[in-house]
Amino acid sequence: MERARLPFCAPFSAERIQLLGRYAHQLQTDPRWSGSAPVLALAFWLRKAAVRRMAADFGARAHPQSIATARGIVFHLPPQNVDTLFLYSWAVAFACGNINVVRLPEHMSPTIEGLLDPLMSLLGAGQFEDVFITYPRDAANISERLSAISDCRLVWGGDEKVNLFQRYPLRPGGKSLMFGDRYSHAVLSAAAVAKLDGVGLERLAKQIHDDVRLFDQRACSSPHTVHVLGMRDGADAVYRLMEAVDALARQSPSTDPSHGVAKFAASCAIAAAGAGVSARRLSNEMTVVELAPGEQRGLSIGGGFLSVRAVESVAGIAETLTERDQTLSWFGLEPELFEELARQAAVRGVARLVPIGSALKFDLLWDGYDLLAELTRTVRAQRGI
Amino acid sequence: MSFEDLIARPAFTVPQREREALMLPELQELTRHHRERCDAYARILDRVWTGRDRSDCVEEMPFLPVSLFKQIDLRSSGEDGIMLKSSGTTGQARSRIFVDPETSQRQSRALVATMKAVLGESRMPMLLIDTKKVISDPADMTARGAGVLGMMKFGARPTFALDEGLAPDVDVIRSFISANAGRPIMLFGFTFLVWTKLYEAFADGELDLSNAILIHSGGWKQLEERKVPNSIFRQALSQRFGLSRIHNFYGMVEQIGSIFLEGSDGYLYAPNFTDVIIRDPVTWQPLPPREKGLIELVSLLPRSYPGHAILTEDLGEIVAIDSGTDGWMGKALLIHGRLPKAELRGCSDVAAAA
Repeated sequence: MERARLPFCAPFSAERIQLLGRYAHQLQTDPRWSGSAPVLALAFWLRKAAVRRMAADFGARAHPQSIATARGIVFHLPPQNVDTLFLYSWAVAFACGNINVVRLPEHMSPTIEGLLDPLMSLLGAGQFEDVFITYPRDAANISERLSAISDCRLVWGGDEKVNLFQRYPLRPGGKSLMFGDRYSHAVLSAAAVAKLDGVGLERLAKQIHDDVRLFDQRACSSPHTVHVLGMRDGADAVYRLMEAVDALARQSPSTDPSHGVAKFAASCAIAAAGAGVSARRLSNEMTVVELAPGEQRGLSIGGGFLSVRAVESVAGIAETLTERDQTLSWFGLEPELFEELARQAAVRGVARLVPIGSALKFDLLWDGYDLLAELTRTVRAQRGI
Repeated sequence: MSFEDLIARPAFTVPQREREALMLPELQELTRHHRERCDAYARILDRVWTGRDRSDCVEEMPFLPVSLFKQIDLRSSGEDGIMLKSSGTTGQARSRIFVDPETSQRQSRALVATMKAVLGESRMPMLLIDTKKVISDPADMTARGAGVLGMMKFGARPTFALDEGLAPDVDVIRSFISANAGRPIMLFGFTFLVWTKLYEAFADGELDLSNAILIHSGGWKQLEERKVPNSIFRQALSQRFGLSRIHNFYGMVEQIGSIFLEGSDGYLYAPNFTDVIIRDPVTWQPLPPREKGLIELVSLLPRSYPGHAILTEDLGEIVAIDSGTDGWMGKALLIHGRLPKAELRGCSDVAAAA
């Protein structure tokens, strides 16, 4: 494969912004997706106003006496099992002006195919050169050759996959962004939960529900452990909240009975080991384990399984965190407490702190990378001394 | 003790209501027994079942999910014993079940009582549709090996029909049949082996098994893949070999000794000292007959591990209670296969090269 000599495009060109906006509009208005929260979230993220804001932010932070260009060819290796993530990965790189090679699963889900069809038409009409490909999982030579012509590579998936791709060099000067295994948490102030009225409790329940239920609680940013400050006096409020989350989940049940049994088995194993002081199967949708003192985090069982951990202080949360931890979605912290948590968490390697309800919202700052900066080149264009 | 009362009577004769009344006190005693001897079980009762150990009916008894036995070792006995392992494909976790002499003896007595219902009192010459190799390593006993070993004592002069490579040993089979022509014989094997190594290996009329009783087990998954339901299985064996007395059984290593035996109506019956509950797969509420759900197995046998009430991952339905077919009472069960496994989603790819 020869790397063609192509001009480097400018980030956020009018055609690119327009294409993304059109695509978002098609997704938003296609009745097929009206019940799909992940697709609607994607369409909302890609809507014209949002991409324009992204462009404005990008422009606002340009260095003086510099010109930004695309990086070149970007090779995307999205995870096999989150149907929409490949489009976030692609869209950011596309907006930045890159030519993209996106590897899709060999057996594409109807969702992936349905998302791809309108996009291919738009890209074809706009004469863009992006390609979406599949190849057998054991065809290492293809991964190797595509890497060799790429200026940037985004590897999403587990550590094993990340390690596998470390073996294939990019073209000289190319950079690899690695998104390996991560674990995520929620942080609640029980006192703040206890103060909520019915409406407030419902709203908070909905936010936790969205964080937990999207992608069956198996995205890297889905919370598994809920650290609760002030649990001793606020346990009732916390369990009221969990029941409200469960009630919402039961309105749109999505948990397979076999996973319901698996969650129960996990509860029993945790109780048997003494790692949990209680395990409540609120329904097939939600199980809540309360961790025993000394336990730092719950298992990532997923599919509606939360481990509540009582903590005395922000330091009690921060001391458990490492660079393997990605998102802390939080509620009810006083500003000073939040600042303290953010500072302590950041130095321990955590990548995101976001208000509860936003854990699954894709962000241009991800796993410590500033994606717009990573996907562009900055050319010094100095006028004088 | 109600176990003694129940096991003393012919295996499938205690009607449902009477059976539940006899079983309940001993089940409650079993829950207490395991709570006192197995700390892990006590913690599960306290922390998952919020301390429940009295129940007004069998349906309210706390139960354990069958997959827990793959995750942790649970034992309620300080005696020496053996760790039974379920058969599992490579990479899959296997159940580990601790059986001490007392429980082992209960299991044996239960099996004897159950098998007597179809085999009668005297031991028949026995042909095992398996290889001797399956029982040769007691240190690594699989469920199939344990099943073969457990069944061997019900026959006389057990003969293995398959060689080490699981190919039918035609000479052995023919000489066994000719040596026992005209008197009752017993066949035992795993369903899939009976089909592929006996049925498929011979032509119509090549073997005369009209004097045989076949006991078989091991699940229908592989046969269903070949589109062989139980009705076809029975019909095909009858046509090919004149073999019409066929009894499938259903059981699992987690409750070894408690087996559900197929009656002449083709349904599986619970022996006296066991019960079965069908639960809604989502709410786990008990379901009435004729509704499909998750199978919970209840048994008085396990004393060395807390397995007296187990929620399986199999689907089934109760087709009749106290049907009285051939005098058989209690619940008649139809199995509908495994609960389908959820497809996992998430950021982390399962296969590295994905």
